[in-house]
Amino acid sequence: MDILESVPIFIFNGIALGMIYFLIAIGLTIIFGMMGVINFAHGALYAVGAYIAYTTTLYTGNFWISLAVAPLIMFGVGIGEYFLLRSLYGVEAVYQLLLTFGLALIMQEVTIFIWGTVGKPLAIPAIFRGAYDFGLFTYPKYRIFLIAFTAAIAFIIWFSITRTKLGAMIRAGTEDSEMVSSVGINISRLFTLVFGLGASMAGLAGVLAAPIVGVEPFMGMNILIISFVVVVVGGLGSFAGAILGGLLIGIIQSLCILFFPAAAAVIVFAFMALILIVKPQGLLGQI
Amino acid sequence: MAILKVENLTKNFGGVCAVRNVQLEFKEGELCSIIGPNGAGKTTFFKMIMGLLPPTSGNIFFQEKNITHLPTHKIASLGICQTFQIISIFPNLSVLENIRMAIQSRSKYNFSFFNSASKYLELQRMAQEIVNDVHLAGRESSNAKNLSYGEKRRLEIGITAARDPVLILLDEPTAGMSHEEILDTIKLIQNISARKTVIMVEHNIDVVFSLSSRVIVLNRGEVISDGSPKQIQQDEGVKRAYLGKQNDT
Amino acid sequence: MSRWLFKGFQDTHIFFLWAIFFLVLPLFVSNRFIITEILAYSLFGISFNLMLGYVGLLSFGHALYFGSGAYTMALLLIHFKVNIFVGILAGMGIGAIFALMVGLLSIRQYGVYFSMLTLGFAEMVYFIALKMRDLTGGENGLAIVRPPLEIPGLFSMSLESPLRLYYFVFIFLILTLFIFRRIIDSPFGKVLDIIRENETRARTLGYNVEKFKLIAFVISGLFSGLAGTLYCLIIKFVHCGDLQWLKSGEVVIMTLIGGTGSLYGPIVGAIINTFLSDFISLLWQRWLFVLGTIFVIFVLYMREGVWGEMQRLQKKLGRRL
Repeated sequence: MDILESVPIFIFNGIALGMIYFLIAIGLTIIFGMMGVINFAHGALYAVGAYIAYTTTLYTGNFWISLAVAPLIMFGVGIGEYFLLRSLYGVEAVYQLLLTFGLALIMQEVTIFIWGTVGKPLAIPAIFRGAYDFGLFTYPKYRIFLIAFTAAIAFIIWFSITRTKLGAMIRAGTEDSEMVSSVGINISRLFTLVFGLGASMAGLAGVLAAPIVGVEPFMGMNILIISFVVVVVGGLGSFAGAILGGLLIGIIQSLCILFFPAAAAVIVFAFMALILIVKPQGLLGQI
Repeated sequence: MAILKVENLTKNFGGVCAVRNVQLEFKEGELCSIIGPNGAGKTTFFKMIMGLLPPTSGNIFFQEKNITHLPTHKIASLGICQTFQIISIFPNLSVLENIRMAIQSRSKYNFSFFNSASKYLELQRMAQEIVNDVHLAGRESSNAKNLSYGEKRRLEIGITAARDPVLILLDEPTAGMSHEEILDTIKLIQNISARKTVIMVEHNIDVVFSLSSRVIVLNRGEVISDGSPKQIQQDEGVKRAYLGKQNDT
Repeated sequence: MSRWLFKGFQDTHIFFLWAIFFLVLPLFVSNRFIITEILAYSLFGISFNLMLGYVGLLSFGHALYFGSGAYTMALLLIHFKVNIFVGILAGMGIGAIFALMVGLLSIRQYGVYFSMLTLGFAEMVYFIALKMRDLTGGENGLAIVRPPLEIPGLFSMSLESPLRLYYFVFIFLILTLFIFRRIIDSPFGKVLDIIRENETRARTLGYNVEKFKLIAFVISGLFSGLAGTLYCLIIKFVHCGDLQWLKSGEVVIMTLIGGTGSLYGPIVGAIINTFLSDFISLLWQRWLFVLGTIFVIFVLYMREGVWGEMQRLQKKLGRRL
């Protein structure tokens, strides 16, 4: 395969990767913007979503059911995590972070306990097996679906945030949660909802990514660390930052694998360091 | 010489303009009050001087030096110190330690590693003097968080005085105080203002009139009046600003 | 007698009690390996806690300074057969340098952001180390031969005896405890206190908060590197896992469970952590689950940690007598 064929493929790979990062980052960044909590368990939510998809597909033979079930279950898990966090209300922020880390560790161990340490595969749904031919190159159908699907989700999220009343509350809460609660909005219910949604997005990402990367116990922590880079680069608290950061990091990573495979794991962090030096609040950060 | 000069100072928060093109000069030794309805931008103004908030535009000059974008600790080192609307002290340190840390900041001992801080008797002595000055004698070893509200305010004034600053900013120093405490605080402020410049944000008109030689009125981020207390009393615009706010609420 | 028991415990007494405790511990515990491990982890925890308990910043990538210290020792031993003290000093130096580099980029960021960044940088080095398999041995790591305790020309003493190794590491722990006590009581240490108490007030008093945080971070890196070099000497092995987030997480958990409020909390944490990892893991492979659960319980209900709770209890009882 020559370069001409490879570059577009790897760019699309990067976009697909970036959209997965976006799904995780958007939850992370909004939760942080509203509640000041960096959810160290966000990667674990992604992993558990993937594992649920694996088991659901195993028993029902239907990927699409998993696509619906996993985010729903993760929504519940997210709410559960939020209630635990709420008991730390008023305590210094660092303890909330510590709690989420502890939960991440527990979740990781539970998945190992239930499913073992060996990675599990998840089959690509039958409709999207194979590749489309674009003339210059062929590209796996599933990845195209992934990009299109997550783009649609991104649009729904963007629309909700900018055009709906709920979105306005979320935006206001990101800027000033004290003010929001004084206006009479039940801030606790809002937080619960946001946390649950963020968790289900992470779970959704897990389901979508599973056919490509498989399901293994450390996938949670691995993606969490990159997600941190994404939100740092994009800017904490910014929706556009989550998209921009996700795509940027995804594409950089992907192209690096193509051109400079030895540096692939590291380039992401080097880029983060660069952004920190040049624009510490992130490319589109408000905080 | 203008000890503090503020040029075209503006602060925008998204859509809200908290401070709008404020242009002011303060003379050395003045005791000036800034008054105005809530939300007028007084605290935001102080924050910008202290470097805790970057201005959207404009410049601040202290002793002819442009301090607009300096970090807070550098501004403090130049000789400005502030007390805050919400009391800002070190709750788990004793009263004496609170003040001693304020004095220590001026000394060269800060990067010393291997000496017990309490061995610096000179610092202790100076701290004790200030403890006495702010009428907290006898409470030196109490933890700051165990102090009464009025005592905490006095402690904060003591911390500020301990820095021996050139310019003192007081943000609502008598907020929440009883009548006796206010009288006491007025005297304290008079004591520490000797040979210093003081700018005070206050709501209590009696305090303003008994201490200030000059009153500045801020409304919606702009200076609407600037003069002696008597002039301000008679200013129609000022009355409207306050009454207007009353009608809104 | 009981009055003295509950009121008389000042810090100096506690320091000596811990010193004596570790001095005589080998008499009661035959597994010298485990208690030497505890010494090294205690050292790690104490230096880590300078940031968490005293400055108030949670570093989630402290394994970087620990692991790089360990690797420095290992690589110098393998390739240059250096003197043991050279290895230790080099390990400390590398730890401090990494802390300086990470600190310069991260310390300006507030609280939770800082935690994310420290994790990111540590993982970066971890991945680099993993890639440089020829140098680092990757996940398989490097084995070393334990050098003798030697001052060239003066004396040489083998450290193969577990007991001798234990007391060698013990000396470093005691020295570190002593140094940290002095630092915490010093003017510098007091500034760290007020930064933790009220950072804005510290700034408005003229303290260059970033500079102090950075210096504390470098000190923390210095002694974490020391812990790493000793750890490498103890287990005669180093691998990339010593740089990884799991190791960083371990010291965080250990310190919190032990207690962040004092110098000695991390020691208790190290004891508990080593006990869990070395004993529970024999019964159930998922000992991390146990550790994680205990950790979460502590974060929710006992944030002072074991040592902190003991101190509270001591104060309460002391008051009643």
